[in-house]
Amino acid sequence: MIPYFTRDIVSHFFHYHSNYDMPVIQLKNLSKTYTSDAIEVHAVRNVTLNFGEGEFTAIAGASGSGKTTLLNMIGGIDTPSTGEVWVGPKNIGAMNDKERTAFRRDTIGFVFQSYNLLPVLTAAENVGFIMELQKRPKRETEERSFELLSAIGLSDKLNVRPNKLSGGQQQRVAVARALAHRPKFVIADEPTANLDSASAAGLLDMMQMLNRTEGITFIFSTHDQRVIDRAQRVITFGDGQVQNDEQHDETRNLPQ
Amino acid sequence: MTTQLAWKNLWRNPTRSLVFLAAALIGFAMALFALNVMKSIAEQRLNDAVNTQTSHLQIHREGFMADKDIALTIDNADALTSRIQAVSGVSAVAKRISSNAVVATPENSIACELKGVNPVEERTVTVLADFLTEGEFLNDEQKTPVLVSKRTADKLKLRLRSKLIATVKDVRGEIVGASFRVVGIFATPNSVFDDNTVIARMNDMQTLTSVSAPHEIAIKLTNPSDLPRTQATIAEMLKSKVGSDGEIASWKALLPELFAFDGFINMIGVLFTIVIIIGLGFSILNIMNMIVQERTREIGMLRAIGQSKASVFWMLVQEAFLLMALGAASGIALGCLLVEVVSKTGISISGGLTTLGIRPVIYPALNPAFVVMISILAAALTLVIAMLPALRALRMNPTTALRE
Ligand SMILES: Nc1ncnc2c1ncn2[C@@H]1O[C@H](COP(=O)(O)OP(=O)(O)OP(=O)(O)O)[C@@H](O)[C@H]1O
Ligand SMILES: [Mg+2]
Repeated sequence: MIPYFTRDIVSHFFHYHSNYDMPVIQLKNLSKTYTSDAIEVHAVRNVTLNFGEGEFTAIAGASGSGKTTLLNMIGGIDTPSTGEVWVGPKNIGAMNDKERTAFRRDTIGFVFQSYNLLPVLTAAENVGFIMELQKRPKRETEERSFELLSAIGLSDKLNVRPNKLSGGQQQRVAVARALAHRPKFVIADEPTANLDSASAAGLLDMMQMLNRTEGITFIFSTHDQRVIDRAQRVITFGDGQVQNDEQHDETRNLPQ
Repeated sequence: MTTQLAWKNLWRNPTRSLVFLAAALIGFAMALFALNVMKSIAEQRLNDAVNTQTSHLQIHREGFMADKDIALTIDNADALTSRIQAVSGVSAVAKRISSNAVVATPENSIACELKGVNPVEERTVTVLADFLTEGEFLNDEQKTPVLVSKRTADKLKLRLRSKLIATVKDVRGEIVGASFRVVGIFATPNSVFDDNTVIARMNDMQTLTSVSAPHEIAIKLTNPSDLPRTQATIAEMLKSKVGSDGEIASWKALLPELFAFDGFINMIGVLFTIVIIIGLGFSILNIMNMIVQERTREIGMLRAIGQSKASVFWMLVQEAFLLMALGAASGIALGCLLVEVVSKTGISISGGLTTLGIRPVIYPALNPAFVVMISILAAALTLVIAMLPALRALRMNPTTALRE
């Protein structure tokens, strides 16, 4: 096991991730401190990390270790106390609220633990929602929704509302929504936590498939060992810090 | 897109929306109905007074209205009358002699205003003839005829062809009296007028009082809304006429209490409407607060995945707006329908209100201005009210919202 800082230096200077030349995301000395009732909680402490294009990374760690906080800062929905988040050439911290909103919409796809689909929209409308926000042509949006729902085996659920879908199906729709507008990367906070193991495995298969076919970078948090086993890179988090950052064998990523 | 979403969100809790819509349906319908009925009552009362009593404008000698001094007559009344007749917007003109009088029978007596009118002229200006319940209007064949109201007839125990004695002061200040015979009995909705007025022929009044010129010229307009303009024209005419000190007054000055009543009764309608709309506004505020509470997580999610603040704000405001608009539209439609139906069937006003000169049955007319007023009021209030919860929803950090 290589200490994370060594790894970081190695990957940075020697292109350890041979197929990922430029880091898509760079976290520089990132910290987040919450103050509630005069008690300071250091949710994330001085984290420096890079994520390369097309990576499929799991962030593992116990409850309260700071996974959600880290992902929220990467995704630009939370602001760091200190440090910087760079996505490509852009420093998220330097953006105002309006710019950051547009940045989230165009660059990132979000998947949440509890699906968070819009209950009044059909599966296809949910998948096309962000493209609608981007004011893309209706035709393009519909075609893309159909393409994605077909790819994840839900072509017969196009016009079904979320409450008529199982948890696993809802989370697949949520992943499709996060991908539809072809973001640079997808952030998923415990996407399988509410799913049974069969559904979780199915969702992982799907995420890997989309990671390959669409070339989209995935960063997801989990504390489920079966999910960790499927990741290509596993960053272990503890007490707001990176405790371990390891690259797994490529072959382990294949659907089992 | 936000409009469609707002519309769909509106039906997430159909019971809540429908309960509000039912309240709005009844509220708006009632408000519109009340406004129109109140307005019609005021208008009808005013029209009755103007039509039976004052007409739109009156000319007197300066000072006459204060104590009805019989010597204050209008000079050159005939010439003045024909010039006024020629003013555009004037429909008819009538001259009157007017005097305080005591009218007595062996049973009783009352103080009243005894008016001497020219029967033909008078019929062109007032509609008193339409309110005769017995007998006929004045004409030249009758011998010293008078018209009395039903109320006066009851008090003095008069019937058709009964005799009464009228006592007045003549032009020299002497008390003089004459006997008249009742040829007609009238009952107008204007009880103040009915209690205080007895009407005789002008030539009989001239004989009695030795006054030849009239005290009053009553003017009826083709269109009441021309009143200020026509009043100004005639006032100008009176001023330029050398040696004349006639003054002109509109019904607003002649019937100040009626003018005030008109405003008062309209205000009741408006207040009622404002109370209803504010009540509905509070329901909207309540619903919006619940919506923001229930959808905290969803709003956080929408902000996270990239819906702008402005767009989320607008979406929430639209939801409130659609709800209010739907309620207002259906309520206004029902209100219009109600007014339309009642304008044919009439609505009976019970209680002692008839003593205020309100007719026992009112036929309200729909005033489109009220529809516009209610719509604007409701729209403005909804926009203001919906903003508060919507802004509160946006102040929340998406991460906090998502952790809920
Ligand atoms: N808004 C907040 N205010 C105060 N403390 C917070 C806030 N958000 C998170 N924390 C604290 O920060 C620490 C990290 O929380 P975080 O949610 O990032 O952990 P996590 O690894 O995602 O945990 P879990 O696996 O339970 O989701 C925790 O101690 C948590 O209590
Ligand atoms: Mg978490």
